[in-house]
Amino acid sequence: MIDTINEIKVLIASHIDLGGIDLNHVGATDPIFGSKGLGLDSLDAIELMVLLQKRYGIAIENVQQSREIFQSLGSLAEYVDENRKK
Amino acid sequence: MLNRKDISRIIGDLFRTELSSHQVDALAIFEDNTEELWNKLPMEIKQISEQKAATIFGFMPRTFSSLERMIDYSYASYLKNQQIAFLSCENNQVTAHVHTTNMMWEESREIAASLSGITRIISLVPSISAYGFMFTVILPHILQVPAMSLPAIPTQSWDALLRPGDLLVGFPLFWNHWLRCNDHFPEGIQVVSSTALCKEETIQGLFRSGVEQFIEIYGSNETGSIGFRRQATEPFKIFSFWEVDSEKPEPLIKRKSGMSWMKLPDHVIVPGARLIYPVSHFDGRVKVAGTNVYPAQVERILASHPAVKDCRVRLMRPEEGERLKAFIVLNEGYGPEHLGIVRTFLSQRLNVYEMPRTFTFGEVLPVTAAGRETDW
Repeated sequence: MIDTINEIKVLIASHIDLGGIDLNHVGATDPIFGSKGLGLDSLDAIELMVLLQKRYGIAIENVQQSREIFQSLGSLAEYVDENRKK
Repeated sequence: MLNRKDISRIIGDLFRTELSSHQVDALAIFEDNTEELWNKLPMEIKQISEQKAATIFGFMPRTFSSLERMIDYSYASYLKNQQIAFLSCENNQVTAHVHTTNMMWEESREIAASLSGITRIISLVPSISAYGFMFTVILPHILQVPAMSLPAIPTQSWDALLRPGDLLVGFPLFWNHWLRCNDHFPEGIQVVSSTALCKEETIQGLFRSGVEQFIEIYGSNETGSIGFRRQATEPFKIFSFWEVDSEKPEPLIKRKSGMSWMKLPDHVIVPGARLIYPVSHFDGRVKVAGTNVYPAQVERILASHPAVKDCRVRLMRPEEGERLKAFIVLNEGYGPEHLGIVRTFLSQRLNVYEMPRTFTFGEVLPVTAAGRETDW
């Protein structure tokens, strides 16, 4: 899962400006959205969903599912590992 | 006439918008359970929502002990006042633009006449804007068709969700994302877009993906719908419920049913009678995800931070994205490592639409060889 977390961090950082956040200090339990962790906002959420579909073939389709998946980098990486199609 | 369910939908959309725009819950705009949102509303957002509901439905601000009471009170106020206000925010001041039931029905009937073969409306926009309200709340009454809301997630199973006769109500940012991860619509789908101008390549992409009909609405929360077009190369045709005074350098419009003359929201080119091409906003506002933002206002707030000696804020170029960006000249003693505190300072004062997405540092503001300020 560590590899996937690092892969996701690179994927996000290469498409969304993270404003100088040091990715080495962002770990599995850090949140993706909000003022802590990666600091993404609601407008980034759609971009992130598109990135995940393009990179892993994962279609996130509803919000209940999204809330659990996007809780932290670790939960997202776990979902990616279990559902990736590419 | 609106029903209680319509009022409930508007209040739910109000919560979603406030939670996400204040960066309390980034995924709230995708949440469909209003009761659950109400139960988790932080006190500050609850108060803001109650105040805004009071303005929208025309009652004195008050607190509510339950969601049901808030919906009941709002519905009673709507029935009494027969009007809805759409809100805009300029220089941190919320302005209410009141639309009467008669105005809204007049507008919807004409929009309905420009559509044909619609059997269901699927909305991806909140109902608290004039556009969202018209297409997701009133139009279903006029066309006598069911309406449903979907979260604006472009990665859904569209083939399974859509059926012939559906009118999909969206906005340019969503269509751009949709086109990045989908390549076709099922047969018989019509698409409507508004909140910001759709780029030509977006409209062409939608047609290439098999959209049967496309209609773009031009308007604002201040005015409601002003005109429409069906192709990117066409000017907008002004709806017949507007009188147009084209004698002035900038055309004025006025509802035939009343009200006073008003300016269009943008500078426009007038290629013919009752035809317009919007060019740029009068007051420097730009659109981020369909919401008006004022780069000059963001710039003033950014400049008030002690680390900032000078700064500029502007909309990204299309290839960079669809957010604001900032250029900062720092005061002595500060470096790029202080970006974190500047971002925190801004996030406490700006909503998600106003927040610059990228920050560039330099020793002086970017200028051309001739000394004029330029992009970076």
